[in-house]
This record gives sequence, structure tokens and C-alpha cells, in this order.
Amino acid sequence: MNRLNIEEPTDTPGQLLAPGVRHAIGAVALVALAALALLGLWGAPPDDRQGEAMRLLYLHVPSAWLAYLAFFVTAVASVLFLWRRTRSMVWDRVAGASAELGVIFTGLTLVVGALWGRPIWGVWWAWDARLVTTAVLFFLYLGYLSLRRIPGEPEAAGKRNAIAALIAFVDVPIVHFSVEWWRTLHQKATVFNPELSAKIEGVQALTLWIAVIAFTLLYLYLLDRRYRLAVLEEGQAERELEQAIRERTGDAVAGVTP
Amino acid sequence: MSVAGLLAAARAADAHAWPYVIGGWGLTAAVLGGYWARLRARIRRAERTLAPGDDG
Amino acid sequence: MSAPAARPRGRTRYVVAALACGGAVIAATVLMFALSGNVQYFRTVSEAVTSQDDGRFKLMGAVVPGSRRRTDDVVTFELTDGKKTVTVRHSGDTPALFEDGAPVVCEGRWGRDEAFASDRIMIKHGEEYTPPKVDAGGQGG
Repeated sequence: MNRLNIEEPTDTPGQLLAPGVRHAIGAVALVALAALALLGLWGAPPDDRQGEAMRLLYLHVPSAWLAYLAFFVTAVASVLFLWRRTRSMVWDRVAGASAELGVIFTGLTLVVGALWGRPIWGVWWAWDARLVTTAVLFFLYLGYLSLRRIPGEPEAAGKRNAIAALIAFVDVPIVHFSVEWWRTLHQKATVFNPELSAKIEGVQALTLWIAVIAFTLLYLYLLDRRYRLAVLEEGQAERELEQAIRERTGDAVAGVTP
Repeated sequence: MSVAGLLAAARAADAHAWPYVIGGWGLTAAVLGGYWARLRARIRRAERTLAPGDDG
Repeated sequence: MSAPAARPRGRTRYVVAALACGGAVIAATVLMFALSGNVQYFRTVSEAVTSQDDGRFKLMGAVVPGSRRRTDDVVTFELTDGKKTVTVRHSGDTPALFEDGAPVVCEGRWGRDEAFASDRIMIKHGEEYTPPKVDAGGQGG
């Protein structure tokens, strides 16, 4: 039983990256993460005002950046799925894989942010625009991921998922610009501010850049792996279905003969 | 409490921030490392069950 | 694309409809949050002095250096936004970074004596980061 007209040719890639490229990315990501741990926990000086608590910046900012990037990739993949000329299950899988990573990074952003907020602001949480829109982002994509689990005929389900992904993406710019549009307890952007002048220098800036690079490479690596798992699971589900049909028809034949 | 005392308390915030820093870094490492390990295990399991009957 | 494959079945249609509704609800919530004015997390000292509201609100300003006086579990200090200054009487804990000149958000209401009665202080720190200053001379403020 061939699955629909959008089924890829038999030589469809089971993974996004060539193994050599994936291994190289994984290795560089590991080195960058090690450098980040060394610099972030020890090499970089503490902040004049915040002291050691500033070391949470090196995780909070890249996590937030990766959440944006992951949801952007999900949105682009969803557009490519909706556009008939590029429609392929490849884009549906990329969208799902990237959204799952985005949810993880959004969750990390929220939790690390709370751990940072407690010693600096004095509170774990504040109902300000930045924090609320970020929490909305987390639940929007959690909803998207559960929507993806609702079974359906692949093309229709893919379209439904893609539309949901595009609706959810509306919140991403709202999260980013919330600190400019409204008054918040959360500070404004250190790097991607409207003036595009980073308010961090020296070793601290270097550490932040290494963190962003390390997290981005880790994201690419995990995206490839999550995509691979999606391909394998689809194959498994298909085989189970075929198996069930074979058993069912076998039973039917056996039931008819006597 | 004097202003000097308050300032001393603020300086003590440095020492007091470390548990949050370690907590945040530990949690991030655990979540990302755990996700990666689980992904790898699931891929290996799926590849094992898929491999023998790959072509029928 | 073949037409039958593209046409959603009944259940899918319901899911799409439910999804659109969910999206609309979230959009509406965010919009209401934005338009209601509650989305602004705090008021400046000048705004609070001008409006003199009864209810509970959050007040933002910088701690006037040297103005903090602590008696038992109450801290009294002056809060300024550069134009207007008010006295704040705060009962409760203070964050570690509650220092001279620190930008803070106090939550509470106007007391009877023109002072703002606060029971929660949060530090609103900035987005810039600098290594510790080496020269001790620059720190006295």
C-alpha cells in the first residue's frame, strides 16, 4: 500500500545531514559546549552589579535565541509544505522536529530565567508582558505538538499542522518586541535591540557568542537526529499497519473457508 | 540596620547567587543531555527492529 | 495533487475549526491584555503622583542614594524618576540588590500620609553588563 501521492521516492533521505557533516557538527558543538562551560562558569568575570548570577545569561539568552530559530524553521518548513510545488513529508517532519526542540529551549528559557530572577529581581516570576507572552509561546507549541499526534490522512494532517504552526509563530515577534512595546520587569535585549549595539563587551561578550554558536550547532545536530527518529517511526507504523492488514485478511480467508 | 550593613548584604548576594547558577547550568545540562541520550536510544531501538525485515 | 486526497475528512475539518478558534482565543486574550493597560507592568513616580489612584499598583523609580532608613521590619526610602520623588514605606523582605540608586519596582498602594505603602520590592536591572570596576574610587557613588 503506497501512502498517497506525496510519498517520496524510495531513495528519500532518512536523515537531513550527511553522516560526515553530522559528526563534524556534533564534534564542534561538543568542543564549543566545553569552552562555554569553562568560560561561562569560570573564565568570564562576574557582572559589576549582578555578580555571579550573571552567569545564567550564557544559558538563558542562547536558549531563547534557539527557541526563536527553531520556531522560525518550523514556520518556514510549514510554508514549504503548504506550497504545492515543494510539498513533501520531509517538510512536515522538519516542522515537527524543530518545534519539539523549540519547546525544549522555550522551557529552558523559562526555568533558567526563573532561577536568574530569584536572586536578581527578588522574584521567580512576574506577570509582565515578556514573561506572559513567552509562557503563551510554550503552550502554543505544546498544543501544536499534541495536534501533530492526532492521526489523519497524511496530506490533510500535514496541512492542518502547517496552518497551526503559522498561527503559533505570530507570538514569536510579540515575545521579542514585548520589552520595547510595553513596560516590563524584564530588561530589554542586550544584543538584538533596535539600535543593534551589544551592551556587553570583552570576555563576557565572547562567552555569549560561543554560547550562541554552541547551542545553534547542538540544535542542528538534534534536529537531524529527531528527523531520523521520525522517519524510522513512520516506517515502523507503516509496517505494523501492513502486518495488521495481512493478519486481518488472513483471518478473513481462514474464517470463510470452513 | 545601617546603609553599610545593607551594602554588605548586597555583596553577600554574590555568594548567595552560586546555588542558582549551578542549578541553572545543571538543569540545562541534564535536560539537553537527557534529550540527546533518549533520542539516541530510540533511534537505535527503531533501527534494530527495522533492519532485519527492511525489504520484506 | 488529486482532489480527493486534498479534501479534509469530517474529523480533520473539526480539528481545523477547533484550532482556528483556539488561535482566535489566544489572539484575543493577548490583544485584550495589550489594550487593557494592565500590560504595562508599572507606573513611573510622576504618573503615580499625578493620578493618585486608590487601588494597588506597581511603582517604578530609582532609590535616592542615602535615603534608606531601616526600623525593625520597615524600610523607609525616597523613590525618584528624575522629575518627582515620593517616600516609600516598605514592610517585608528586600532583595539582595536593593542598593542606593537601584532601579526598583514597589508593589502597594498610597498610604494616608502621602507615602507609598509597599509590601513587595523587585529589582528592575538593566540590560548592560560590565566586569567589576577595579578602581575602588568609582564605587562610593
